[in-house]
Amino acid sequence: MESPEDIEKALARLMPSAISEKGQRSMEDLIDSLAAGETVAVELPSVKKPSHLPWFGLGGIGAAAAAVVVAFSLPQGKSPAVVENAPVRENLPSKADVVLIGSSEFVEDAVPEDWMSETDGVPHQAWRVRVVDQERLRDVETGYEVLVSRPREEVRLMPVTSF
Amino acid sequence: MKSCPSAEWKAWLAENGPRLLLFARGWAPSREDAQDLVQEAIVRLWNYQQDKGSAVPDLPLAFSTIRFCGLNHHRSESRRRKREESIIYLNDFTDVWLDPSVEDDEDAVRLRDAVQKLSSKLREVVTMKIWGGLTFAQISEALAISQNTAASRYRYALEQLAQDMRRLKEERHGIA
Repeated sequence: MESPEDIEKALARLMPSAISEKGQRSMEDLIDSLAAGETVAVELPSVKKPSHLPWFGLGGIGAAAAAVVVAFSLPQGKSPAVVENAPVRENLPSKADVVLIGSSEFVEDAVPEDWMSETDGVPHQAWRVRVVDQERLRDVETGYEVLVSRPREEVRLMPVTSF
Repeated sequence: MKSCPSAEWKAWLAENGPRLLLFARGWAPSREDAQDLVQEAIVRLWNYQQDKGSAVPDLPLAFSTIRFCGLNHHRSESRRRKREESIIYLNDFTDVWLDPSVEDDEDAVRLRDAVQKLSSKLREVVTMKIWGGLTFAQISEALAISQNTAASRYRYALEQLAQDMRRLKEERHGIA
């Protein structure tokens, strides 16, 4: 097989290997979660191993139970970096009587990336930022308040104002 | 009434999973990492497709999404790390590329090795064309390049592979 046509035919005979059974199962579980209406927020690939995705990115009460959840009485103080969203009172689409009483997000860490961009003549520096979304939930039956933290990473372009 | 799309997505994954995984291998140091990349792409694709009634995505979009995820991963790593991953990738390649039925085919193994040595730009076009079954128009859409560029890369890749195979055959005969 020396001609490009021969090569093309020979390549077609090489078959890509299948996804492993474990990987296939994991992806099907992910699809089930997505189809069940659980929100999955992915801004940009996380630096962490993406194998954490099935539960790491899942929102909602069901995922909160599986994720790292810190249940305690909330402290009164607020970080200056916190952006507190307007408190809302709504019943979540969950069978549990859990009420969302507030949400916020704050930037936990920001690291400059080694690439830049230019938009309309303005140089922009890429920053990899670690943002934490937090939701305060209250279990109506017990009165317990739960703080759900969902860290995520994304790249943001920031205009360069000094050199 | 909106039907549950999970069955359609699972069927789509069963049909296209291997070719997506193969493409992801170009962006990942190991099979497991490539699977993670595919998984990550599925989440993105799901979100993309929400506006389209959760219909399964077409392959060009799936390929370009994997590529986007892969680019983002690589962007955050140092050049040294990239070289290390490349070495791991090459060493690990043998275990997952070929269908076992052609393992005994010496030419197939040599061809696989030659594909492995293609530059990423050439390899991704070959992967999309041969195993993805995409047209040059679809490849150009997925990679944001012109159709002529896609076709040129494909032809150049085939010529390079043919040249490698000729050289290897000559070396083999020379030794014999």
